[in-house]
Amino acid sequence: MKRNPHDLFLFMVVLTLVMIGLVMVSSAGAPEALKNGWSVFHFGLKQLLFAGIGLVLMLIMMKVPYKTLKRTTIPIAVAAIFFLILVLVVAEVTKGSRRWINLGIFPFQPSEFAKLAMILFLAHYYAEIKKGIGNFFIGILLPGIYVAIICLLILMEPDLGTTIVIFGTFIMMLFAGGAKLMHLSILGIFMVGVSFLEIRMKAYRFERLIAFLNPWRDPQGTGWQIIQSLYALGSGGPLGLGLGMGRQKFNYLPEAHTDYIFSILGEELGLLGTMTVIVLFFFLAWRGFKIAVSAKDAYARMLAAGITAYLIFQAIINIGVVTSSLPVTGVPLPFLSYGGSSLLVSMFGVGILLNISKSVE
Amino acid sequence: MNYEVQSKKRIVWLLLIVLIIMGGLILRSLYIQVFMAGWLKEAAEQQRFRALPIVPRRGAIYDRSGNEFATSIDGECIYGLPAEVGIEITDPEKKQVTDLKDAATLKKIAQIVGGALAMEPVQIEQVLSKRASFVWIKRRASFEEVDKLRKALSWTENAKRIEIHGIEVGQRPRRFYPQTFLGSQLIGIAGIDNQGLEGLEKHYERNLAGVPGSDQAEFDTAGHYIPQGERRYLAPVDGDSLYLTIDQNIQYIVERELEKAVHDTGSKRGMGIVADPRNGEILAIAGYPRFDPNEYSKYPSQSRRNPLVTDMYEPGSTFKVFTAAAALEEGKVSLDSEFFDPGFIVVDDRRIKCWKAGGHGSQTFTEAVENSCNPVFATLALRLGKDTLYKYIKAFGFGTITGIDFPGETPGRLQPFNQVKNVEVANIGFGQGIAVTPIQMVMGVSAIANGGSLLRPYLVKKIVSPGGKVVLENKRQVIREVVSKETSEIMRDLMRSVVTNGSGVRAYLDGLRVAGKTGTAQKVVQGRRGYSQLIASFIGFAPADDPQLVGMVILDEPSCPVKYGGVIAAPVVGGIFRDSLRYLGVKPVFEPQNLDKLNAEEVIVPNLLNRPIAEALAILQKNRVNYRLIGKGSYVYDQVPKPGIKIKRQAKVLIYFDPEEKYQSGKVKLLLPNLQGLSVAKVEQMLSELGLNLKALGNGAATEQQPPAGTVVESGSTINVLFKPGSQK
Repeated sequence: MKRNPHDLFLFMVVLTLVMIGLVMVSSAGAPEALKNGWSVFHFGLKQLLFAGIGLVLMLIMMKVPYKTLKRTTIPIAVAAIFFLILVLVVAEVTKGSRRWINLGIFPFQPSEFAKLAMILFLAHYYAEIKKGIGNFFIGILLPGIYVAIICLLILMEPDLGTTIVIFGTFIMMLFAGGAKLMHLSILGIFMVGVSFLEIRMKAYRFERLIAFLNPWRDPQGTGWQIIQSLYALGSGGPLGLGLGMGRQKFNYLPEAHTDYIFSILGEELGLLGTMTVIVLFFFLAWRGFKIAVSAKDAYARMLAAGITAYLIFQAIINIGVVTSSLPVTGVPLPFLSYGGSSLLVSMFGVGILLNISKSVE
Repeated sequence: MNYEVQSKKRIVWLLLIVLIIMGGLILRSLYIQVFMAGWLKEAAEQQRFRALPIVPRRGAIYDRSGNEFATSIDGECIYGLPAEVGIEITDPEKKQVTDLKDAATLKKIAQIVGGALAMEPVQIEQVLSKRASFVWIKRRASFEEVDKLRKALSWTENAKRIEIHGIEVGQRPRRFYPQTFLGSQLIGIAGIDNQGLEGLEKHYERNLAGVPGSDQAEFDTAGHYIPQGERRYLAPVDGDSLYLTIDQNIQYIVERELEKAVHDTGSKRGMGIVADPRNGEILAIAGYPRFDPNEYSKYPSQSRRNPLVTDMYEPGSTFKVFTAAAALEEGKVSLDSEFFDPGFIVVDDRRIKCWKAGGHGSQTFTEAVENSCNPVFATLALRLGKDTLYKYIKAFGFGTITGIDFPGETPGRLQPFNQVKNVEVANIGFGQGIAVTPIQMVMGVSAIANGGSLLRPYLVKKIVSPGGKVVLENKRQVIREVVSKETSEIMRDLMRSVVTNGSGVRAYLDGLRVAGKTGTAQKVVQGRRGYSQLIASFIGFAPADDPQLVGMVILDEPSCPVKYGGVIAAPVVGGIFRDSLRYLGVKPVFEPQNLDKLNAEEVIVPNLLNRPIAEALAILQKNRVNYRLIGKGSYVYDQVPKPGIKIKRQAKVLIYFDPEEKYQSGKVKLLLPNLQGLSVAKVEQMLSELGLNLKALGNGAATEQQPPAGTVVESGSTINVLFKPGSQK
């Protein structure tokens, strides 16, 4: 077996994204930190801590042969379900939903963990059934039960954004695994149908959907976040107002340092900043999928494709939302948005990717 | 390995799809951050920027020589910063600072502030709950209120320091009128926001107001200042200042004389105006009663109007000068035209009476003007005819506004042309059936006095910017030529003789050549001519040969016994002219030949009191004094004027007889005449007629007298007079 070096380029891309994230979280989180009477760098420092842990996790995963992960598939898959049920029981309601389990040093987000669990599970499963993916029952319906359980539990929090990411990752993995397009179409129609029912059931989601089409219809209500995000991006112009000079983070964008970090980036660093981040994510996709294509076995390929798809899918949804290209959904931007669970899981995943890159054909 | 290839192909496809989507997102960012950037940035700033207004300083108003009539001073104001409103409690022992910003705290603050400012706490609470970075609490606060508030904003309780935040005291320019009552109706008022509400303050609002500036800063949604936000300072542009045509001194003279006249005659109100007939500048304009613009709300709104511009009235006889000027210009009459007034004139089937019962009889045109004979002016109007009369009335500016720079001017009212028949023509000829404004009258008479040019009146001489640049300068503006120079000159003489010989004699000033015309009009009350209420007026100019001032006084509804314009309004204009001309440095002219004539024309009223009728008549005839006997009896009971007063020879002394035939003994008070320049014999004769004794010292002409002229002495007193040779005139 040929021993290759790690994909250093991917490593640098991810590290750059993490560092941009640290700077932007510090800047965007400052007003919120000050409002609570904390240090200006409160969020920046915490994110730095998470990044440190994330880096250690990443480095560990680079060393751990990916094949050994196969052994953990079932325990992790069960643990994910357990945590998702636990969060519904023990979590306090924050901003209308139960997403975090308080672990003392940082709140743990089971749904982030579940993403990873699902990717590990599906990669293992499809590596086992191989051609069976072409069978609707074995390839889609059977693993779909697990995905559906996760999705339903997350929807109960509720957390539509993460549900969409998980379901989207599922579809992308099916696509990557070579599932029949006909089956994917059926799944797609099913998803649209469910979404439609969801939307019809909850009026506020329908309003949100409409809002992205014309945010100025209700600028003080449903359109508020979109408008404020566009104001931030537009104020930045081509070159930005300068790092730390953003103003929209002062209460105008309610999630400035988390979901809307990209808007503040656009305001402070301009088109130059936003384009850099988009290009970096494209590099991530390119290296990630390249690793998948050149992976030695089916498990590595599905694992690499799943991790890459999940990171990229999240990035696309997040940037799509803040640029008012998609309906508003709360999805963090990987590596950049403030949040321990997301960062740790993302860096953990990249660690696996890098490990796979060592043993390509 | 078909399946593996398929899977790898799919992954490449995924990368391609990602590439397309990423490309789309880049284009979307480009669109937002470059093409939409302009208006998005603007909209974002509009949402974040809040402006603290900076009030510009309102321009001052000065008279023609720079005396301040309206100025802006810094006043105190109280405002709130809702985002910062709260109570801070400092505990020095525990070194603990607590901030309270809840609803109960707000209520408490409103109570405290309301208590200090004597305002409703509910109202303050409402204002402070607004989602604004800045709110007014009191725009104009007194020093006492500010002091009380400052003391109420912090205190110590249980060894804890308690401070109220977010209530601030600021400075804000406010209007002040240093002259208080003087010129108040002309200047008008500016309201609490320094906005012109009335008078010149309103008319020149655009110049006076200036442009507000602002201090703009960026704020977050909770109204907190964004530290790295932009700060924009827009300096306010202070208002321009007005320099009026008004002369503070003449304005003062007019108001002083007017006040006195209104009180003496018991009039409902009075109006006075002085203008320069040469250029249309208004030197003084006033109504009475007046008001104090610093406390305008305490006065009725009626007293705040400038009636000389905004109110119309029926002019009566003063209007005859325009009929006369028109008739002269059209050649319908000349100075020596003969008229006969039987006391009425029949026009169509109407009999129009002269104001003098029995009529003036045979008279020349000059005498008719002096007598203000109604039938003669009705005749002139009819000679002119409806078309020509209207042409002149309009040419003199009646029926249209004068264009004076003052708000609310009325054009007056002419009867609709097609409704005017001969009777109306005759009436208009002597000033009835037409409504005019005092300012129209003054400009019309100015045209007569200045050689025939109707001018636009103006109150503002120039407008000066804060930087000292003259923004606007009003200059003499001829609207049209109305009559010829010749007519103007004839009219000057005619109007002068009205004062010298006719009904306007009480406006006479030695050597100052006053010309004028009296008027007494019946007031039209609710469309009906009431005989009880009158408007007495006098309009004139001086000096007659070189008019420098036109003046007019109107007394509305006088309640004194004699209400004729010639009796009560003429002396007021006389008083105004006397002091104004002296102030302007116009010297009285006594030409040598005139002086003799003047002397000859004047006579000192002899003392007739208590004399038997025959003796009194003998004295009167000897002195060639006109008289009129009132009542029946053998002894003179009273006389008007009193002994010692100088009167024109044409004037009449009224002799009253005691109805009870009692011989009145005792001393009589009389005014000592001026004896200067008279010979010993003349002085002796004069004094003896007055019942006074002479102690003469020296020879020649009288140079000094003791007591001096004008002293009130009792009959029988002895007067010391020093005579010196050679000084006899």
